[in-house]
Amino acid sequence: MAEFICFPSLASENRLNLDSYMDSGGYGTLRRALEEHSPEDLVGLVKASGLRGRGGAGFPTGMKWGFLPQDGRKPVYLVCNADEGEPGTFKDREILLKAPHQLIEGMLITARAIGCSTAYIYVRGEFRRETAAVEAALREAREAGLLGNNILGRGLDVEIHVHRGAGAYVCGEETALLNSIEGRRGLPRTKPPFPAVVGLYGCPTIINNVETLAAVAPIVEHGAEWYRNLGTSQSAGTKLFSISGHVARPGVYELPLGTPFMDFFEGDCGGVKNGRGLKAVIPGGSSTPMLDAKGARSLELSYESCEEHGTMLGSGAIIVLDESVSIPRALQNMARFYAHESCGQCTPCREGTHWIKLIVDRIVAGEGKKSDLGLLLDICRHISFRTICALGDAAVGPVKSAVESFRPEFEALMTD
Amino acid sequence: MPFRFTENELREIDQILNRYPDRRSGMLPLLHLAQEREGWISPGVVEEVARVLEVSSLHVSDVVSFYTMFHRRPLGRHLVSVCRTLSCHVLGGEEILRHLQSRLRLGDRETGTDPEGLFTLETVECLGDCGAAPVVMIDGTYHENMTVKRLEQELSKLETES
Repeated sequence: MAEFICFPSLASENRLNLDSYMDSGGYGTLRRALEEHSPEDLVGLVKASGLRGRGGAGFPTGMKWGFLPQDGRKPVYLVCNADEGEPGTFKDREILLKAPHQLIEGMLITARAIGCSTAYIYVRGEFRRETAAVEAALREAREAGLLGNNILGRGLDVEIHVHRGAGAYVCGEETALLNSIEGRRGLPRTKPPFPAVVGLYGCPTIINNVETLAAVAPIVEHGAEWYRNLGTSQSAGTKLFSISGHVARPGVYELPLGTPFMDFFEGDCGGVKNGRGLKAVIPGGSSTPMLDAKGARSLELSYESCEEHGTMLGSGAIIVLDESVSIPRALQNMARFYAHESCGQCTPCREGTHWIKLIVDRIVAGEGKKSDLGLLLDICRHISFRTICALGDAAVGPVKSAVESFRPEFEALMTD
Repeated sequence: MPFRFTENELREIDQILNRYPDRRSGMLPLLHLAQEREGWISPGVVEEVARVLEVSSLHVSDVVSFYTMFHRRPLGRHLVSVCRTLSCHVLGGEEILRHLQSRLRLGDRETGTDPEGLFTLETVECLGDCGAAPVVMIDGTYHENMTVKRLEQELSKLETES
């Protein structure tokens, strides 16, 4: 059975306030990090832990930190990405609501590691309760001298501010998020330069997901080897999984990476809701290619197993679809999402997502032609790797996988 | 119609702007602040935010139009936001949406405000609470595991209050 390892506070119902967090050893890791580790040590430790970005891309966190220029000419910013918007994902809100001090502690250790004194938490605008929980925790930390100047008497100066988004999926993309903080439309920026070199206000910036930053304290506390040994050789540690859709016990679970999907699904989650048959599983948020039941049965929840299955671990947002679901209609829903959320900056994505939506609409309406499936795949080819950010590729994932794994369902709707 | 931040709000704005090295970063925070009081982003709000941030009102409008949480038209007294993304969709979100469309007598319109100006219906994308699907947000508060029946109870409460 799943139990919380790195995120013990998630087992509770309410927000852990500063006193209870301190009682369970909270901020002790920060103290040790300041007393016993140099910033270089901390970066090395996170590199050695094998921690990868938990927002969806899975980029090695320590390596990202290592990209910062070391010349110290400009201030370094840390931005926590709490824009949780990938359809199916609801894990970061659990940390924001229940364990904000673990996030703050992770951000302070990270700030020490990367030499930053101003950090922002970008919380999606709809998360009003979550914002309030984080702000309450920041107030407590400030009053206890855990924010501001000379934290714990160790010469660490860090301020953390909350910045609320205002409803735009694309702002979860890290450079769009930076534009949003700068008071602009949330349009992704061309890379390179990467944010580690030219980020917020043109300064070196590290952007990490909530879960990634919250994992830093347990890693520093128990060591890189301990963390690595929790997972597989290529997928170190544990990960939070949000599971929703046709599942008996939806929710947020922490699992050692490499856990067989079916063990988790039938054990912890009670299998398909109402005892129906399993039709499809989207393993990492709606942007990751869907698997049919056969594929899902052999899946392990690790980066490498997802890749072997032609999909991605993404944000760990598992969406379960039972046999009652029409895949063309599910795709219609996802196609609408991406057409709506495309920022419009790159032609292949702006036009492509719109046409995908129109074509899937007409297939579902029973007005499709057999050639439409080839046309859909052709549009996908013209979007992939031809856009500034990953939203275009995200839009392609569900289309290709739905058409390739469930072709007969589409053909059954065709008129010719 | 003109909109001016109050003295108290201007003090709060000073604190907000202190968090950033660039005044322009106050854009989203100020728009949120204004919309909280005004209910929508009126042309007056755009002018006022532009004045305080020392940017053109065209720039403010441009930003406002990008973010779905900023409303460029006045709303009914209560805003009902129905998530229509996948997990909510397959667990009954669609039925809730259709119910609201007919309850608010929207006719052919998918979203909009009822004739009394009491409720505005909008559809939103994934609210990040899929484990409790379907989710409906009423005046910014999440309501989880929604059914038509429970939604009706919430709406009737609001009707009686008004």
